[in-house]
Formats: sequence, structure tokens, C-alpha cells
Amino acid sequence: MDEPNRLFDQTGSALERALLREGRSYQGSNDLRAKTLAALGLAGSAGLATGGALAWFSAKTWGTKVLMSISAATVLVGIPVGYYRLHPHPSPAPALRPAEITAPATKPTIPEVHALQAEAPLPAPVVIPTAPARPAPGNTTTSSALRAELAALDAARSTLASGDSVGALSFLDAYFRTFRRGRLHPEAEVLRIDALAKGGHMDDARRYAQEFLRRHPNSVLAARVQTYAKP
Amino acid sequence: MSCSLVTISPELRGRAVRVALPAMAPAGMVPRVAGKSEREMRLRHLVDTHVGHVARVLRNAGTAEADIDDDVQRVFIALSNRLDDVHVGAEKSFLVQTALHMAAHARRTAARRREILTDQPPEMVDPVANPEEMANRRQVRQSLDHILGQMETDLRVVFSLYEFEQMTTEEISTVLDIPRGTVASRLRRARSDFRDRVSRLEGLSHTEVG
Repeated sequence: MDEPNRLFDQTGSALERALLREGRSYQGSNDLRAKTLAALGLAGSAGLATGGALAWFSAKTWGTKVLMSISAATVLVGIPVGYYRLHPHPSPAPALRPAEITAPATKPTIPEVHALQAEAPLPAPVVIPTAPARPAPGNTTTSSALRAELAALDAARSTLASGDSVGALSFLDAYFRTFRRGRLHPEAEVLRIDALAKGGHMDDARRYAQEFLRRHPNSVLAARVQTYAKP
Repeated sequence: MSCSLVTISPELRGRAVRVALPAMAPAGMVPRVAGKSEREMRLRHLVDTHVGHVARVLRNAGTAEADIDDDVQRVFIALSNRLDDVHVGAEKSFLVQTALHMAAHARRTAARRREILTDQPPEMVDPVANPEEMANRRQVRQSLDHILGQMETDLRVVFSLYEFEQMTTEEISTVLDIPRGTVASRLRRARSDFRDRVSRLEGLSHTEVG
């Protein structure tokens, strides 16, 4: 059975082509991929760029992958990763209070995340039959800040995956200090709950889980937290 | 292809999603359960490859712009929950099926909400715009939403998958679990319907301008 030609490849009116082009070109928000990775617990520096992803994918050992994450986090975030690796937290990280989540302990060293615009700015009017509209400019700062957030979370996640819950909590502590208005706070909170539970701080994990569910009852991450919230 | 009613919850807040499961491996060839790191790499690769595709399927199937991010995440969480059941190579079908059912659920929910809140039909964006306005991408999107929203759902789905996702009729047949001839028939009707609606819109627009 022959496949009919797509309408877009046929001669049509300017409006028809514009409508078809719009239907084909929709991609979602600029940070959709990052948010999705974070929702899956896969926020990672490895996915920051195609090259990085390929390098990550081809890395043969987890040690290499962890080092790649940490390196990227160091470069992008400015968090003293090396310090944390060489000078592990001297004592178990004190349980954090929800009130401390946004309390800045130090001046942020990286660009703060700007609030996501409700809608991407519309491009200047174009003649319908022209090439597809280009992505709206002006999100570079937002994207780089989001990448930095992702790198920071991935460093924490990798550290937790290696069994170092104290180190992971240190990373998360730094994350919350640095990204006071970060867009991935919910993901970081869930990761902190994971780290607290794995570190044996079940009471703290439960308290944070309950607090998380109270503030984000409809979050897509709620399911991951439910198990910790039960008394 | 087998179909089963799968409740993907609680991530999907109890949403019942009918998912046509991908073909299972024959006996003796059941895929081994992937290790954690391998699983994560696979998931990450699938997000990288298909996230825009899933967003587009959801949007063209009627999901509101404001809900796209959340629903894309839900689709991938559903995939994550079922990853060990999904054949390598069948992930796209799974994602499209889940996205379509999620969009259908969202449309039904929105319709029920409107019934409760008001007897009035939803506010429609004026599909008739002058040329300058139509040159604006937002207007184009609104007009597309308007046209797609008036098409029969079965036709809209086939039309979107073929014209926007550029899937083959064979792929659409597999995803929707319908004969290929039915896909071709729906596509013909959908195209005719789409072009009629575009022509009417152009006629109205010209009338307005004139």
C-alpha cells in the first residue's frame, strides 16, 4: 500500500501550510526535557549536551560516570565539589528544617533563576509561507541556570547512589543555598528525603515527606514521597 | 497487539489509561530485567529522543498548553513504571499510546468540568483573524486548535499522527490497533475535513477583510 504524500509536501494555501507547519513544529517548553529527567530522578549533567550524553553513555565504569558528573557540576555550578569529595562532611548532616529551605547562608555565586515566563515571547510577525518560526530568543540565562541546577542535583544523586548519604545531603544543602528560587526545588526536596531515609534518619525523612505532600499534593513526584510519609 | 486496562497510579492520580502493550517477547526470549544503571541510561536516552514528540502528540491531541509539561512527565513516568515490559524498539508506540489516552482523559475531564461550572460552551478563540494577526504564530496555533478541536476524535488522531508526526500508516495501525485500511480511510476523511475547515476559515477571513 503506497503512502500518500503528506499534505505539507503538496501544494496548499498559505494558511494551510502555516497550520501544518505549526502542528509539526511544536516542541513544548525549553526546559521540558530537563523537567522530565528530573521527574524521573534522572536529572543529570550527562544530559546537558549531546556530546555529554554520548560520553556518559559510552563511559564504561560508574567511577568514570560519577567523575564526569562531578566535573560538570564543578564547572557549571561553582559548588566546591572537590572540597566536598576531599573533605567529607565531618559529621552527619544535621536534619534540615523546612524553614531553612529558602534561607540563604551565603551569597549565591551563580546566576539566579528567573521566574519562568508564562509564555515564551512571540516572534515578530512573519509572512505565513516563510520558513518555520525560530525558537524565541532570550532564554539563554534561564537555560544555563537550569543546566547548573541539574548538574548540582546530579552530583547529589550520584553521591547518594554511591552510598554516601551524608555527602549527598551536603550537595543538597549547597544546592538550596545557591538556588534559593530554583525551579527544581521539588526534585531536590525528594532527593533529600531519599538521602535522609538512606542515611537512617527516618523521622526526618517522614517529616519532610509529609511537608512535601502538604505543599505539593498534586505533584508528579508525590508518589515517590508517599512511602516515606507513612507513620 | 494485546490491550489491557492499566491504572498507572498513583503517579497519574488514579488516571485509568488503556495502554496497548507492546508485543511481548516469545517464551524463552523474555528480556532480562535491566540493571539499574542500564535502565537509567535507557530511560534517559528515550527522554532525549522522544520528549518533543510526546509533547507534540499531547498538544495536537488537545491537551492545553498549560498542562503539557505535567502530562509529558506523567507519560514518561508511566513508561518508567512499565519499562521492563516494553520491548526495545516499541517504546515510541508505548509513548504515543499513553500520550493519546492521557489527552483523551484530559479532554473528558475538561468537558465534565465545563458541564459542572457552566452550561455555556468553552470560550473559543476567534478563528477569524486578519492577515497580520494570522501571521502571528499564536494566532496560527489557536486556529489549528480550533480546527482540530472540531474534527472527530478518530479522524483527528490519525490526521495528527500522519501529518504532524509523519508516522506511516503501518505504524499508526500498530499504535491504534486498527487495520491499516481503516487508517487509510480515516486519513482520507480527515484530510478532506481539514481542508474544508481551512477553506471556510479562509473564506471567513477574506469576508472579514473585505
